[in-house]
Amino acid sequence: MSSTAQDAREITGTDNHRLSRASRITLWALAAAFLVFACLELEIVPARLLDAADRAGFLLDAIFPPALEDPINVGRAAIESVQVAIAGTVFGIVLSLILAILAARNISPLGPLCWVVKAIAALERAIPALIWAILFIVAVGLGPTPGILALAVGCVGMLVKVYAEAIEEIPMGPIEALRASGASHVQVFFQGVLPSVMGVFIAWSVFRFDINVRYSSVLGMVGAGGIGWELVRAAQVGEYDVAMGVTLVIFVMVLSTELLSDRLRQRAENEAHMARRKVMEEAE
Amino acid sequence: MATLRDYRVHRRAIARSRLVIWTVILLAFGWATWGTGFGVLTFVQGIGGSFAFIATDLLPPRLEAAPQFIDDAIDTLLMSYVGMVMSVVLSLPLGVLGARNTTVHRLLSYASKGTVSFIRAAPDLIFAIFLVALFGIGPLAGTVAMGISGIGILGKTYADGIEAIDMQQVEGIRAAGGTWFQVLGQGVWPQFKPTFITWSLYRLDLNIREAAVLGLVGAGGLGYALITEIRTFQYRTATTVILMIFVMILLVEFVTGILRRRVL
Repeated sequence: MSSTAQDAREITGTDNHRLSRASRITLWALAAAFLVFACLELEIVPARLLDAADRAGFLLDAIFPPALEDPINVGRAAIESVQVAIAGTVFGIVLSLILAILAARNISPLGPLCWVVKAIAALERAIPALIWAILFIVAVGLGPTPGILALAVGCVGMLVKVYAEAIEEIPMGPIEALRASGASHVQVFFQGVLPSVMGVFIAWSVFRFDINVRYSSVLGMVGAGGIGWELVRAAQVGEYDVAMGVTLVIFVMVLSTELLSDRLRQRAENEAHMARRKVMEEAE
Repeated sequence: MATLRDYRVHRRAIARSRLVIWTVILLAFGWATWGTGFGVLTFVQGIGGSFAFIATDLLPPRLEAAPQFIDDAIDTLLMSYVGMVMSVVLSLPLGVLGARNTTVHRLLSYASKGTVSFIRAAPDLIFAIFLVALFGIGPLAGTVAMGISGIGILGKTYADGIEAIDMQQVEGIRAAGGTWFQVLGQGVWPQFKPTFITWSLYRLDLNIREAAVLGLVGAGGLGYALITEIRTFQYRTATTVILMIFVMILLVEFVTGILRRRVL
């Protein structure tokens, strides 16, 4: 990586886009000064940290050994969280794919207006899934439904961006060929566009699923279904051993779904790779 | 050149693999919608209802409320910065010890990578819950939560970045009799620096977003203001806060973009 940076420097011949040694030292000094200022402003001072060190002993006592009050209930809540994550991700992927087609410069039926979709996606990215969940709870009530909606809508910002970027990078040759041979829009998408972006599509979708499993485990904190509620309830009444127990269940849940999704991704990537080869061979 | 037979075998392999994947996905999706009572209809209704709610209750934003949140915005910025520095300081040793080529011992590499994965698996709100118990409500708990959860991503990218460097330069310094610290400073650091700066600054971007969520458990900043406005049904003011978060994200991304270009 640095060798490319060096190459770039050698090619340009000059260092004029880089900072001189003096201004670099100034930059670091400013960064350090800003850190001190920020700590003072936020009252992150040694006295408070020492205070907390005293309390840490009590807290550790309260946490260990971790306990589960009602394992069946917690287990059921964990399963609900996984279900919320799966449903939210599937709906999110479908929604994002449709929007990505509208947002991709090269195939968008909206033409030059495609940037509007991109702007909406960027705005959406600024709002975390949990905030969406709170808004959806107000709109549709408590339970897993606002959670699924929040995860689905929460995907859109990120997935539309990466899907659209992937679609914009596809070689237009095969697309033109399909169009010239009279393929419909739908056929062009499934035969030309989708196989080319399949690798990126799978990698990001699975990545998003892993993120959504993590999110769904905390969605319950605002009342959107799943295991998060058990955690926040235990913490509110000061049962930190139970809170830790629930945390461990969340760990198991997150790590095991990650393991499964990783297996699935490897399979799907192999398949996408083979399919791409097929497209190339057919083109030959 | 592929023969026709190769091609058929190939096609069958693809079809079989595709069948397995789609079966798994459809089964999982069926199981999930059955368990949560959610379906396409609920989705359309929910989205429709929610956007009607957004259009009538959230819009237009009450922009004249913006000045009262400037302090919170500054708090969020400071928290994100201190949180980032904390993550960087904690992640550097974990990254160096975790990377196969710079670690002191292989066991230490596993231990370090394991710790980082463990932290990455936990949602930041979980750290925040325990930290609020430790530090009390306020920006300190939020800052430390960001600092710790940042290890999950920085510890991994640092270790990966160090593992990707060209070892010849490092060997040269080692051969010339450099100590471990000299090897790190003269051999590893110059190559690792671009990765280090890119990902550390990226963490700052992420922290600003995360701050909104941490407000939920009382961790201060714009996030806390947002939750308070929503809980008290001041939706138009809440929209103002959301817009402010958006502007902050754009601003920080702009500044880190400049820094990245300058320092790299």
